[in-house]
Amino acid sequence: MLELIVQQLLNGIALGGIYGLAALGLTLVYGILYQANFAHAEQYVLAGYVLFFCLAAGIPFAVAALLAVLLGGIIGFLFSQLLWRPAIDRPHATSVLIFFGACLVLSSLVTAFYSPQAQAVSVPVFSNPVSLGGIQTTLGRGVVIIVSLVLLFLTHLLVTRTRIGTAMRAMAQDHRSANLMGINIYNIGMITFVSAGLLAGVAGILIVPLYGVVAPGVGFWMVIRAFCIILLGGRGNVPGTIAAAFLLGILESMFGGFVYAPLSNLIPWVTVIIVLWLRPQGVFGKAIRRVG
Amino acid sequence: MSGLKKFILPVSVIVVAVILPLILTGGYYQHVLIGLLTYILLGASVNLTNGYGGHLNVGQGAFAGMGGYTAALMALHLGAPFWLTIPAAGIVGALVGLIVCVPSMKLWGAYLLVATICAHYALTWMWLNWRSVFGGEGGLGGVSGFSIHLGNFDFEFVGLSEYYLVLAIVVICLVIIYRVIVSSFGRDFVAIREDEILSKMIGIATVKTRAVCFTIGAFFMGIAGALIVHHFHAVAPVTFHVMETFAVVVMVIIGGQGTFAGPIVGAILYVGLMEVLRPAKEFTPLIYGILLILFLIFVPGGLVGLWNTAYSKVRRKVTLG
Repeated sequence: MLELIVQQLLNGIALGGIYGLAALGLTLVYGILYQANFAHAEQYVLAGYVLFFCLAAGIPFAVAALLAVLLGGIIGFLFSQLLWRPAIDRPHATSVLIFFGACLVLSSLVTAFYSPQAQAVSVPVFSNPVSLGGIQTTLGRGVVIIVSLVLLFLTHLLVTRTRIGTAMRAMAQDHRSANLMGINIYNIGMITFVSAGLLAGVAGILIVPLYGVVAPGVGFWMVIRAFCIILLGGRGNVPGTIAAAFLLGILESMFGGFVYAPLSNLIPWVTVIIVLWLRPQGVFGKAIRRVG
Repeated sequence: MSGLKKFILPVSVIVVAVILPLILTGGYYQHVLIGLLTYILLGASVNLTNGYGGHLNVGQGAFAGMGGYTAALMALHLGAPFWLTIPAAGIVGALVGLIVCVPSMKLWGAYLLVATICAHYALTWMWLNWRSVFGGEGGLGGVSGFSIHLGNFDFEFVGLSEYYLVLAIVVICLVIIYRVIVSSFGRDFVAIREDEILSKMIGIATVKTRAVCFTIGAFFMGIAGALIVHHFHAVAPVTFHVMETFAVVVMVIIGGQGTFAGPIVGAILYVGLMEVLRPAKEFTPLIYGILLILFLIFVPGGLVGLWNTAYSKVRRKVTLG
């Protein structure tokens, strides 16, 4: 019994690593630019598709991965120029819907121009079993956990220790004042989006082989989960996001393993509702100063 | 006489709506027109919560779906006629809306969007998996249409009469929605949308009012769901699919959020577009997305907003010489 619990715990940590990786880019964009980029997960799905196409064409994994990550960055750049800049002073609801539209567009690009079928993607080296003191896991999962922690650390450094990071945080507080202070908000915004896109690309190349298939529309539920994670972790709080991701991964895995698997998809939302009811700033967020 | 003048546009629209099926005859056109009417009702209720209320509610599928399933279940198990199922569907829709919006009251913006999508997902899961009640993927069939059996009086609303019946119901609903919008409640919704903190300061009970806004919207979505189910004589989870929900949001935005005529214009455009695009079905989400983005960036007021701006510009020129 204990072994089962620990196994599920490990699965949950791996799941949390996946979610954290997917949510990391989103927390940058949402925390700094206050843009709810629903299309973020589509970036990682598209990166997964690039991986699929490259692997099918015989290109080695390392090159394919690089291309996929680059594509993520390019899409991020396009987002910043086409979707964010024109709507920079519009109300929040408008920009949310704009990105929602982008999500629709991206998720249907593959369906329309290629095929709605799920495609198998396999990177054999990731399936090598690795065992830690009797617990079985695969290399792929281990890599995901390690990479997400490393990227978290790097992102945190970027945001808290660099000049660009300080500019980002200034923008997060008030982009108009930041502009008046001489910060080029358009450039910062672009950098944020590109970074988020690169992170999404990395998420794509690591997560897609783990699941073994890539299909259009997979991104949608990942985005929902990512948003729940950000809600729990507190807006703009990078370490909080990863912590929340692991928490959610473990919760979902435990619930799925021991309670009732088909409903485990609802766990993120239910958790969010409960947490927000009790603590509106999320588990790790700073106190909200709004009047209600 | 300006009191009567404002009725010219709505009345002429209704007259057109009455005459239309006599010009476009045939079962197929009636089918499309009835679909158009339900989209108008859905659009108007979404406009109420999203346009006037400022919420980001994409839960129409959930609320309309529960309304539709309620109507189906009542018709199948209780033999209830449409004039009972439809209000019941509205009430169930409103209840579901209330249940969804209460925990979401602390969420704004993108989070509300996520919450309503999750609600939709949860309900779809229930329709698919609670087979004994909801019939799973195949749904429930054999639902009675619009018919009246009262004692010796039997009447089936089929074909043309079905269209007029649905038209009458939708018009009544739209009138009610209009009355809500121009009432003090309606103005409260808009106040909350514009500035929630200020609204609280002037004494609007924001949480209660937002809940009411949601609930009323969900009520009419439930009715729309019931209309759809009685028309198709069947209901299945795919009837209230997520894509349909997005389509309604897109049509409201294109038509013009926050305006009364917006959803009507949007629905007409959408149905027309759908008919034109029928051969290219896979491209529809792509096109919705692109239209959504283009309109939000360049024409945020929608087509009706564009018309209003142009109209006021012309009027200014005319009156100022």
